[in-house]
Amino acid sequence: MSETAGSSLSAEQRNILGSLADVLIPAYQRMPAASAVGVHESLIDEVLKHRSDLREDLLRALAKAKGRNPTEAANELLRSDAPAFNALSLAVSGAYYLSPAVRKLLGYPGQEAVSYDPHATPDYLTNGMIERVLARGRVYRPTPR
Amino acid sequence: MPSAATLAGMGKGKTLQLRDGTEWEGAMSIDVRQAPRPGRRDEEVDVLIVGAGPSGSVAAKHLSAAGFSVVSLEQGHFPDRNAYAGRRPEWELVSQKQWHPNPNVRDLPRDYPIETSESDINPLMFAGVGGSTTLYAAHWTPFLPSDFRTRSLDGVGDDWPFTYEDLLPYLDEIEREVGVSGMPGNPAYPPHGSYPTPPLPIGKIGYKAAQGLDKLGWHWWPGTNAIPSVPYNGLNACVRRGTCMTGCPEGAKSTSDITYWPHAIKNGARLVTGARVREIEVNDNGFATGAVYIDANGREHRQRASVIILCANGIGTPRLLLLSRSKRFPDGLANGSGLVGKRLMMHPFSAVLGVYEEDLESWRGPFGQNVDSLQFYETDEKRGFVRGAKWGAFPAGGPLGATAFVGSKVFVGDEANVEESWGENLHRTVERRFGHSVVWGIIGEDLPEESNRVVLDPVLTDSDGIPAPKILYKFSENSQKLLQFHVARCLEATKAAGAIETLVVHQMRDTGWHLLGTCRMGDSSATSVVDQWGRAHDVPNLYIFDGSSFPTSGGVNPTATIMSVALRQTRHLIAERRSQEAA
Repeated sequence: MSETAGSSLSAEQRNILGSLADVLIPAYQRMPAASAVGVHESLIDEVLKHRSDLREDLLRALAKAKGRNPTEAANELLRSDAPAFNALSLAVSGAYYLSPAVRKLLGYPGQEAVSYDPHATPDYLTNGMIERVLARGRVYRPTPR
Repeated sequence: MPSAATLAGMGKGKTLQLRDGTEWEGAMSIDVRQAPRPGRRDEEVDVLIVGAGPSGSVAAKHLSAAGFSVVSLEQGHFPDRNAYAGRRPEWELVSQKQWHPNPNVRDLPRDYPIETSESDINPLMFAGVGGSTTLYAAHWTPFLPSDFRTRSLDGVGDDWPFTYEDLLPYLDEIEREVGVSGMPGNPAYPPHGSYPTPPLPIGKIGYKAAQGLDKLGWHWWPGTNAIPSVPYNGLNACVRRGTCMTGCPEGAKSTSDITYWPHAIKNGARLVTGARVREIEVNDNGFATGAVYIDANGREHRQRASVIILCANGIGTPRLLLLSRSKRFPDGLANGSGLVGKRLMMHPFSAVLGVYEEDLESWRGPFGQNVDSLQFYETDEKRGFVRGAKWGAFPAGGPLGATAFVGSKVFVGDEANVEESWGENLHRTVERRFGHSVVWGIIGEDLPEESNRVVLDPVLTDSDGIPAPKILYKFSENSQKLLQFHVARCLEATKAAGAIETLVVHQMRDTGWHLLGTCRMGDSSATSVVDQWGRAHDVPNLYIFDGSSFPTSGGVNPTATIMSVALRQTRHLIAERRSQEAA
């Protein structure tokens, strides 16, 4: 199976990837299927830009799945070619959770900065939690003399 | 002992001159503002330090402040904060490769490969200024009094040549330099002063973790971390981004590239990065004369020095000693005891994931320890093993963190078919766990055994063709029993806090962050490699200041103790300069 120039996948590879991705991540309740958010389109390109090490195993997975029922192909990869399945599943899930739409549905803002008051009195100092720890006394053994 | 010059001129702020019987003027007379100029490449310096991680950085700063001419050779580069991925959407993806703590996974040119096929734990490290702290979680957990007396108290391991109390003044000083945040008064330690910055928020996950321990009447304490809550010593305040273990893009995690090297360089120390040392050279009298290193372009250089300090971690340091074989030292440098590379301790580690109904915002940081527990740290022989473990509560990361921990996919069952972990089940797993999880990391004490060791691999080499280390390491029966006990107690605490789902990764493989014991310190040259001041018994001007000198491992994260011991040894070297022998 040939690929298009540069790092991009061919249209055929993208179709196969979309089918496999929907086996791994189908639509479920409020969550969309992988292909519905473009996992096999711009998101997989984003993944491979950051994880080029996945490319070889991913392309092998796509080649092995060509012309096959995607559910059967995914299970066959799991049983017979773990590196290919692992690359496929990480690339697909990594792409899916990069999707802004998916993050919004999950309520995940990303690893954002949060402001706080470092001088505020923590609740554990006033609700009795630390007091109970202190009341139980030391838990270390001192240096023997 | 062969005749040798003494280093009477060392630290006077001038080019070293070796003269027998030179009158010593004393360290305290030196004005640190009159620090020596940075040395030229071909110039012999007072002190050569191999490795710019925590211990090497402590030595470089304080020796240069005392007027010593210092060169540090670091195989990695100075970190670029903008390269850390924590602010970017792809953070979880790259944390499983480019920022994975295992150098064999990262496979970057500055990393050296490690042969681990005969090890139960993969050693983890990072090559660069700041060393492995670049990727550490910054848990600040000094060794406890009993850690220095395991032989006396429990009949295992070895007593250290000094005590907790001996080390305490140096710990206090290091904590002020590092910018530790924490709550004073922890009853798991002897009385101790306050920390330089207030404690970080423990967050919803910290409260949830503490809740279970509170119900059971077990010890817990708000996490003490090398992460300041207010700007401090060049560090910014933590913003709770939660990506500590892939490098802090805020510059808010204490690493020595921020907290030590600016001072050391201002003092006149010279830091050479991209410099991979392949050998410590010695003269016919058995004194170390310098190091041979290969720069980033593959060119070979020599750096001569009167004193050499190895700070290359518990694998890199014995590797370098074993590489430095000579006619005089056929079994490796400073290896008269035969213990170089032996007694490797890496801390057996298990993790318990607890999932809760409540929204805990469990992607938020810090990814230091939000709370910890030392309830079962001390020996109770009724448990069937000796020594103990520390528990630290972590957040669980983003959606990929529903099945992974610190870059490794571990919280999954056996996948007989795709549908078990994928398909609708993936959605259910992420919906249930994401934002709702607390991970307890359990660090168990590793007892020293000579069969656990670092050797040179006969085949594998690094990118410069230097033989790579091979690790031979097996979990001991004590370690297995210890972790089983602690996992069982941790599950009780997790359930007491109301967990609706628990998962355990037992004896996790990618957890060898703490590399200790491979050049142990002691009083006897027959049973140890260095003395309590880090000086090699066999080579009077060769020192080891990193964690490889630890006789035992404790059951806590060791960076606080590594840095404190390094400061104690550095101060001794400064104080004893007039009696220091050199080539």
